[in-house]
Amino acid sequence: MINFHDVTFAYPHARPVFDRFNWSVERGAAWAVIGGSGNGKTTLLMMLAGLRLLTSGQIVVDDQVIDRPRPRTGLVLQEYGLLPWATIQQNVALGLRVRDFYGPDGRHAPIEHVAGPIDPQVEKWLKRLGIDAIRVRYPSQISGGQRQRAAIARTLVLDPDLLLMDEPFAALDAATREDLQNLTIELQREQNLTLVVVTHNIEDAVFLGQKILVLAHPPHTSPVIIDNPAAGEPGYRSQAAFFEKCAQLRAALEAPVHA
Amino acid sequence: MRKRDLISTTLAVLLIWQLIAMLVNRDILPTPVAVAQAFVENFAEIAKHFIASGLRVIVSIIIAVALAVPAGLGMGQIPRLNRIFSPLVYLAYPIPKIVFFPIILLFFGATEFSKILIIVLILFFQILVPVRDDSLNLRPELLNSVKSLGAGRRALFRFVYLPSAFPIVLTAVRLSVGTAVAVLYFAEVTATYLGLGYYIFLMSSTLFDYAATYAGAIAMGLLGLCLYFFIDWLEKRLCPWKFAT
Repeated sequence: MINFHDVTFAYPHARPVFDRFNWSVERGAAWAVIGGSGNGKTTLLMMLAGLRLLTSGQIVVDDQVIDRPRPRTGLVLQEYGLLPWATIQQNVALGLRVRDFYGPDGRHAPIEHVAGPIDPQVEKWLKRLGIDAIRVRYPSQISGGQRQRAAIARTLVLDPDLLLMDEPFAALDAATREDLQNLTIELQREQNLTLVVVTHNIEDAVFLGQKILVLAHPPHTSPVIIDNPAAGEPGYRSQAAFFEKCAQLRAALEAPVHA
Repeated sequence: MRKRDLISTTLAVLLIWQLIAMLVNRDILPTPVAVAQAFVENFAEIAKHFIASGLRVIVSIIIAVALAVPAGLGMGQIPRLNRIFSPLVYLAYPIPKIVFFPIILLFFGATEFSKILIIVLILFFQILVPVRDDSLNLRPELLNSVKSLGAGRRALFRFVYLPSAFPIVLTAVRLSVGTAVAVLYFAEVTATYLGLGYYIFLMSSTLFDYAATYAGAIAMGLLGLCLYFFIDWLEKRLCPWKFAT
């Protein structure tokens, strides 16, 4: 589904963050990407989303070289990115309105996009995410968890096959966080989504990522991957295996820099 | 602002005015009662000038918004445009544009165009600068998340930049209404026979009808207030999210 071919990325006048980096993700897999701040995890996600150009190399998603946002890739950000002047319903409908605005051009909207009534689709996702009661509210009037649900609904209404999330739970309290993590896994399985979640939080990564990409010390040349097949299972958070995996991940993050 | 507070403040001001006028007891400070009488007696005349002034200032505001908003959004979105025009704006912004009025009169004569041009010139920069700064400062998460929904430049303009500019434009216009009416007075004193500025000047300096002068001044104040209230109303309609609690 996702293939990184010799991806190199450097900010101007700085040493590369990724240096001929190769990585691949299978369709339907749930990945977590973890690393400290400044280690390039958000850069990786932005490149994958088509919002940041590579210095060299190629990212291919579903046989398509990524040089701009791909219509079937959904992106959910830490700060939600909801329009403050639009109600929750309008925010959830935004992607569909953008698609209708351009028509099925294959660049901004999938070639098979058919302009149809927006409301029933929006309605379905408002209900599925449990935010139909607050549809007429503005983002400033609802809680962080509800805003994140709205951001997820806005993405899923576009029927993505790849969902990218950047620190989606960072600003939430513990209970809301677990609740939304469960929901994310549920939706990932239900919609057969390929999921890439970027986080700095070890527990988030271990609960969500069946595979975990560790970005410890840039420049990243080859991927450091931890297998975590039990991710997302109910009750995993309180099992010994979970804590062992967290310890393993912590050790990987703190491993000394290779010469 | 509660209506009751507005009314009680107005009554208090009128009462203090009445007391001072009675104490001073001179022609050049008529009582509010006398001014109200003059207002009623000259109502048709004042209304004629009020409409002329109102049309001028409204047309000027519309033209200034129509020019400054696209220019500001363009400069905010297209770095090259901003690089070229920002120094010009930086130099022109602090210049009191009113000093160009005599020159505008020389070029275009005592026409309607001259009067509207000077108001547009002043309002243009007061709207342009905040609109540009706002669109430069839109949060990258907001832009990225909308881009990820498929939005290119046109859709970003339609769904993000334009609606985000509404409150900025309304605030800029609200702050400029006072200036616009002041400039209007100046423009109408010098170059017309129609408008509240002309009426006030004529009553005070030529006919020495002080009560009518005050009535004209009050009409001009009402013009500013009406515009102010209209913008408040417009903001509630266009930006309901700002009032959501």
